[in-house]
Amino acid sequence: MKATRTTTRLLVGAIGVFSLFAAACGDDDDSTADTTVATTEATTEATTATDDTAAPESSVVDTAAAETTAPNYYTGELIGVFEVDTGACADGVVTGSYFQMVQPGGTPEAGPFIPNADSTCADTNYTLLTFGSVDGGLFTDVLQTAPDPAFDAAGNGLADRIFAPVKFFGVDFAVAVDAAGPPPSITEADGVLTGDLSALTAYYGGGMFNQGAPKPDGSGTAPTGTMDPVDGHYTLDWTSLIVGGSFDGFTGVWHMEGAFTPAG
Amino acid sequence: MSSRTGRVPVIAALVVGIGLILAPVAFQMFSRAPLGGTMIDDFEPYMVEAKIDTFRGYMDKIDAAVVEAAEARASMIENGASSEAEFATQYVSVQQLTDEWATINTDMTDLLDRMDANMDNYAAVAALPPFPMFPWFFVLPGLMVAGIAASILWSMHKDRPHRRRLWALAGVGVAIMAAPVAFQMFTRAPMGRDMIDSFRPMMTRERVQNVQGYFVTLGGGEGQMRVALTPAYVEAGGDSADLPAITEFSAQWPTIVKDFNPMIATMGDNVDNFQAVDALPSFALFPWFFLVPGALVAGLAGVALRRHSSTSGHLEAAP
Repeated sequence: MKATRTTTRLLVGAIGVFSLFAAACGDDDDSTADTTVATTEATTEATTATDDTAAPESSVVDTAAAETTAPNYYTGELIGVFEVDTGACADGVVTGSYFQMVQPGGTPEAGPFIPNADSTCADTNYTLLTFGSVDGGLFTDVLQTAPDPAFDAAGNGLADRIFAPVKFFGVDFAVAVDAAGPPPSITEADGVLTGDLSALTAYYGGGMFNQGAPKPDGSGTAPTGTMDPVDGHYTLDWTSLIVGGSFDGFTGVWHMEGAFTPAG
Repeated sequence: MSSRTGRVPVIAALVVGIGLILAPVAFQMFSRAPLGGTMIDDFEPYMVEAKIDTFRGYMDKIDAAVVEAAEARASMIENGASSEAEFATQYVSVQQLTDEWATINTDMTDLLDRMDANMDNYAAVAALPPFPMFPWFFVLPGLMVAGIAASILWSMHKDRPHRRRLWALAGVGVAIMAAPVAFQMFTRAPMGRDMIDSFRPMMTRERVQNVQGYFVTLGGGEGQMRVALTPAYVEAGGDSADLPAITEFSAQWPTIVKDFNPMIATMGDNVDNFQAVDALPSFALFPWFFLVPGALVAGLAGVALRRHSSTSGHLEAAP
């Protein structure tokens, strides 16, 4: 048993040294991807082959691998905060987080959208979003509910945890998670995000409009997105049909992006 | 023979009772009547004079702003700050509002007129017993009539005394007849019919979607007047003080949104409820649904009593 451990440690150490060497000599461009896949496999095998006592050696290997591979630090159920990169418009290109509203009968891809004269974007079909001043973004596993009262006297939404209230048609709309939940959840698999944002609610003009994905009754589609496995930069997109109320038949189109910071 | 002829009116009363029990099922009252109740409750905040006046005030403010926007447009084109084509492109939402305002104003005013004209009708309907109870007003008397009639028939079959129950049957018939009077249905129900008739053109999905579209046009126009047109007007040498109606419209807009939002929602959310109520028999017929069966039951009970008396007298006179 002892002999086996020693052999394993030597093997892991050798792989680590080899990895360092390979990293130093390797090409930073195209070959990196190949190297990443190969090194990741080697690392996995080495780690699998070792037991708990071999952990220090494994970490050496991981450190070396970090320079050449893209280990996925953000996978599975993601608990933490999805920070919001503020939306911006420059040269006709929209970056960061934004919202659009599709008129009844339209599509999220082609519209027609409701132009928001209060948008700071040249293309007023886009309403740019800014991070909420309270929480700075969307927390998973937490009910980021609206304050009480949720509106000021003029009907402006006041929730300021996920996004800052943003003017739309002369009135601030705000976003929060309905107190009845469920709290948002996002999972990552192979760089693709999905999850449950069904309790997301927009507060506008004294009214509340579910903007969840999927819808609370399970209809509609879940949010989709991407996650950079190294730096945690994500994109998250969803659409949500408004059912009932004054905007019955309109569809909210949401794009969120920023950095994900794990809890703890 | 006399016993058989005495049974006929009681059997007829039994049939009327069963008919009363089944009527709500036939008219789907158990599902439709509560929806009507929901509609009546939802419209309550809007069926008051002050609310309608408030909305009319908003329409006046928007009208004044649209007139002013058209004047600002003319002024900017006249002084060369913008051409007609440039204005239509740069201020597309303002242009859309000024172009469509006449239609919007006519349609919205029609809605407000209909609501205004039906204040009394609404109050009359709201004063009726709660809608979810409507089916039970048929079922319960029907059960009583059918139960008493069945018990009388059983007694007749067993040759037992049943005169008191015949009187009871007559009493229930009279009570059913009196119900519409007690609930003032003869005055209130036709008012309900008038309200349903008046609301029918406005409580359609298409009409509600039109109103939603107006809201988009109004919001887009207001925003562009405030954010783009007024600054451009000032930049072209005008004075924002010359646009008081636009300023007032923009200042009022959040309040307008806050008030219009729930009203549009109420309309939209009650289209199905309205259609359920509209599918019920006409409100004006409702008092007759009580009066006729009640009169029938009372009359049939009276006939049975008369035959019962003559049969009893005949038997007593027999040697």
